[in-house]
Amino acid sequence: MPRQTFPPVRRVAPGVDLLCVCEPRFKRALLEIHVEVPLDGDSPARTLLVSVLEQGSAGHPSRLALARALQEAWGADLDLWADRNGEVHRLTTRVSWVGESLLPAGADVVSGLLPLAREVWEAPRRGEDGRPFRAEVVEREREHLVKRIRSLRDDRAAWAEQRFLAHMCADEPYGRPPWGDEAAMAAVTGDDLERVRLAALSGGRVLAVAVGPVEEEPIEEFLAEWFRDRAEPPPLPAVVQRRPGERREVREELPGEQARFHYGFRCPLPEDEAGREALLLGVSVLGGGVHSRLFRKVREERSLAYGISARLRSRKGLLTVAAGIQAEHADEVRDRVDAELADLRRAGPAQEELDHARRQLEQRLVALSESPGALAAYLVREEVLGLRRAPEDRRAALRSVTPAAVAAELERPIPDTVYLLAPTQP
Amino acid sequence: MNSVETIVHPQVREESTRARAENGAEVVVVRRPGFAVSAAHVGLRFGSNDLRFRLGDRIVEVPPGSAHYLEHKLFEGRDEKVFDRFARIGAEFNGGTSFTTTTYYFTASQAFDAGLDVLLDFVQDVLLTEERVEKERGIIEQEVRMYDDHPSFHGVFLLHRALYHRHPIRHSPGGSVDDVRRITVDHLRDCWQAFYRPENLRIAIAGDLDPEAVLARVEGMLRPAVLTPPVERLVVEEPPTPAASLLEEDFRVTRPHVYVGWRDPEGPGLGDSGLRRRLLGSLALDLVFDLASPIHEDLYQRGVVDDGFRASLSVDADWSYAAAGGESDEPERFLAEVAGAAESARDRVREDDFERVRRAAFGRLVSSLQSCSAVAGHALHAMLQEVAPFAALDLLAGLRFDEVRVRMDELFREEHRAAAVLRPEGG
Repeated sequence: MPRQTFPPVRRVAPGVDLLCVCEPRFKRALLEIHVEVPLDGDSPARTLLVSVLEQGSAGHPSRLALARALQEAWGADLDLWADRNGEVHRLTTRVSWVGESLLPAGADVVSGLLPLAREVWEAPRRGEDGRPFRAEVVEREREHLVKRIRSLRDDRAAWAEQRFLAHMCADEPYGRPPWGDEAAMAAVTGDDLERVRLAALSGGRVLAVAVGPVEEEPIEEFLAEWFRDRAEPPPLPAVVQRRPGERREVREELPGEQARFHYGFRCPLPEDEAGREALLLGVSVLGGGVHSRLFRKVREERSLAYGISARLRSRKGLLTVAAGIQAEHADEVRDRVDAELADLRRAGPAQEELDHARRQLEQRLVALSESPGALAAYLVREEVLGLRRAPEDRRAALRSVTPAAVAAELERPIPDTVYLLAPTQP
Repeated sequence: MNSVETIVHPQVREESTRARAENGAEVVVVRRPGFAVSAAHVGLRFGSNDLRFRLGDRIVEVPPGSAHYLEHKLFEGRDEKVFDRFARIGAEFNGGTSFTTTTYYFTASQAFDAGLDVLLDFVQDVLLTEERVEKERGIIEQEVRMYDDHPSFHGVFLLHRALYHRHPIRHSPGGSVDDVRRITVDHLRDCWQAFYRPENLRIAIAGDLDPEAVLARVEGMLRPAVLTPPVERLVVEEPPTPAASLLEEDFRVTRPHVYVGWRDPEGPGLGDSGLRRRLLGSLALDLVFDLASPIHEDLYQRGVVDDGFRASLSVDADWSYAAAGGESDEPERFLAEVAGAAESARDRVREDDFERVRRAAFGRLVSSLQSCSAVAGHALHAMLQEVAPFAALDLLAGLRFDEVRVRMDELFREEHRAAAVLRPEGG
């Protein structure tokens, strides 16, 4: 492992934290800067903002100019995106570059890249007549996004997941797609973009993570300089936790080949470390891979699905199960999920099942040391959940989980919504 | 093991040991001190394109999707499911079937030797019965349906049918649901007998391992060569120009999906010359369609393409094509403008563009070789393409601007072009 402990969290500016793991063995370095704000009515504007910022800056006034700068830097990448993480709208800027030890002597990549990441946010290319952005760029990127929103249903799997979350979490921020809908996106103006840009930079909570052949000090100085003038941002709102009543069953139809099945449970994370690990192992035994009950019963025994899996959406507190099936098998798959969960609650997993799940999770924790991207994602997740656990500590905690503890924690998920996107009936 | 050779690759700072087993199988071990997760990949040149072959004195024809079906069945194991065997040591594993290859791999942070034994055991032993084959059918049908719901998947294979008259690349690796329903245990047995021969295996291993000990273990696991009955792939004769200039279909899409492709008259073959041609094609495509290309920028600024526009190269021994595609409300304009831009690009690219694109390609390639699984996967792919591990880096460094221009001229020609359009149903 590159580090046996969770790296120290450096507060480099008000509301700006940095996690850094210097690991020269990684061939590629990355710096991710996550700006977190609430998922709200401004989310469509932020989604469009990210697209517009990628179209050029004052110093690199086109998408082409930015792309060329990255090619010059030996295939560096600068990516911006906005997504939903729990009930937060997360705006991510990721810069990655080849470790300079692999490049010809004297190659200097990083000194130009960090300012570039700042430049796209701080000095976007302005429009004529004092407009915050070029009107034709705003119009073009907005139109692209409107069309993309209109086409979302073409990807059946992604569409089904979005519809499932919209039904299950109706009236909760998590149920709203961050890009909004066509009308909301079409109404975004250039002034809106400038407002949400400034608000994100001044009022978003910033978490930066640097991993790989990097030096902490220059990155710390870079972030401190960038964000030095901001005030402490407000805390993010608490996650909405709704206690479900009767389980709801929702069926929608769309032309297609395969039905998409989703089953959602409310499942807030346990407060204690042992409980969290037991719940995670329980979800793994239920549907965490080829060792799981659902994979074996639904796929291997009944040949009903190519894949079926369960996952914990920790930040929101949901357990969800998903599978691609024939629509006529939906009730059987739902009942199988219920039956396996009930059995695990009653009798706990067999020791062998628990061992398989534990070994898989342990291997994934060890594998964090082999991938800068996976390690960065792990560090960010731990930090936003307020857990800050070192992978090695988690491995030790996993080893002490018993079948009885798993059974107890699996009492936690409460059925909420069963959703099926079925092919349209002829 | 015969002909053991150890090479240090300074560009990627990797040390690889190549060997040939007594039975003819090839092995590469990349020693990576300090890495906690080791990986082993095994593969063979048998893929979904192998639909017709001579096995002894018989000519065998199998439905599309047979290689993929057989890959599924190998995971069942003879006596115990491969899932269970790997789960016991906490290994992650998977397999994949491409047009020309089938591969299997695992990664493990403990009990690597035990995992290697499992891997090399199940790829050399299979139990195929009617009951076992039948049980898998529903699972594979669901996998095929999953892909069939993706417009881009459907569109790419429509383009393949426009580009090629008879080449098996017209079929997706998994086949159609109807194909899957036609596959029998006898088809799979014939495929197994013809191609899953120990001497055909290519094995790549990377980790904090002793190469000598690993090679000895591999040698101990490999079974003797199976040289009879003789096998001959029966190659379909493919005309050198596209089958259709344009194919259109109605599909479940909101906006038209448009694809344009340019095929070479024939594939580049294997070995260094094939890889060299592949790299030249890849750089040519970057020069035309990468975000840093003024040609792409012009198409974007004028609204011909949007941010979903993508370009790619697909190459193996006996086919090669470049393609570009995206969504467009004006498919005819998209096709005319994208095709025109590519076919006139040769005179618009400059040497400094080439150097910049090559530099970026080097950086991306060298830094993609991070995890042991990535390194082993790269080494296996190299063996299956009959080139040395990391050969791409050396070849890339030696390419010249004039060669890329020639390659652009060869590839982006109207007479090599075909297109496919998915139009909204009822639109």
